[in-house]
Amino acid sequence: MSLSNRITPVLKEIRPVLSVNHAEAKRRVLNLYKIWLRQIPYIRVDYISNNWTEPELRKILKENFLSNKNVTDIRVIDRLLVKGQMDFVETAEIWRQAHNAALFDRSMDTYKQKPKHFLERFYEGHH
Amino acid sequence: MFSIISRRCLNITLRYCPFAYQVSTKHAHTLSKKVVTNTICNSKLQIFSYNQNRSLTLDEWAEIGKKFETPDALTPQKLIERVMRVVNDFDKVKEAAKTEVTETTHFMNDLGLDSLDHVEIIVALEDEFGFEIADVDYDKLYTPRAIVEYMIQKLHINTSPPPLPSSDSDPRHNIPH
Repeated sequence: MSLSNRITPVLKEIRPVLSVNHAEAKRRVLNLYKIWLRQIPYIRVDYISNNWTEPELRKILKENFLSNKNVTDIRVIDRLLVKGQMDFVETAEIWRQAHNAALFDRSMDTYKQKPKHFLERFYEGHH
Repeated sequence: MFSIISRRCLNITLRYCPFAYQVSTKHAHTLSKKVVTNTICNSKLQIFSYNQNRSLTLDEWAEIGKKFETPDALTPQKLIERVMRVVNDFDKVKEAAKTEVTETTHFMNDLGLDSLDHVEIIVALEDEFGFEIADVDYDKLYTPRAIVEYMIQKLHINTSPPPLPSSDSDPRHNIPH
């Protein structure tokens, strides 16, 4: 009918950042998780003033990885991987300090959190 | 000069010669390896000591032999025990497995672990067996049975039964006449 039906559509290929398909991205993610896991005993000692235990650190690592669970775009996953690897290098080489490393730990957040339960909201005054 | 020295060291006989010679002193234990020699060099008394090479007793040889002992070869039974121990020591497996973990429990399907927990199990296995497990092999290791087979392949564990002793002659020498 129109010209576009007779002309074959040109496929625009997206340039990959790091990985070409989901399988490769998954492999990279698991590798990153593995090197962070292996580094956990050293993180505990290097940033000892945070009073972390190894199970706590594993939980923190898990939380950080699972927060990006629902990302499907491969290029976004690659960007997150690169950031994760940069964070790893900074943590391993001790270019961070204790408070800087504690940024990964949400339980150590110091901002005043919104009250969740009834009693907390009652004490706040506006429920 | 020599008379003065000889009066001081009552048990040591001295002669003016620059070479070292063996001397047993009063306080030296007879079974000790250490031997003390005294030389005179430039009219100064210098004492050297060295360990004499002596033959070793049987106990000493046994002590030395302990350094070269190798562990027993892994049998499939021991391998299964180790793998199950590693898997059962994992926190998530303990929580998730209300029933006992058998050889055919699938980590993802039966126990509900995700791929990150699977990586943790693989890291524990690497620490246990002492070698790196490659990325491409993660897909193979979803049940303890698969892990055991993988280890048998990688560690070259002999699974064939040991040969029964028999009074037959060696078949390799059965040359047909």
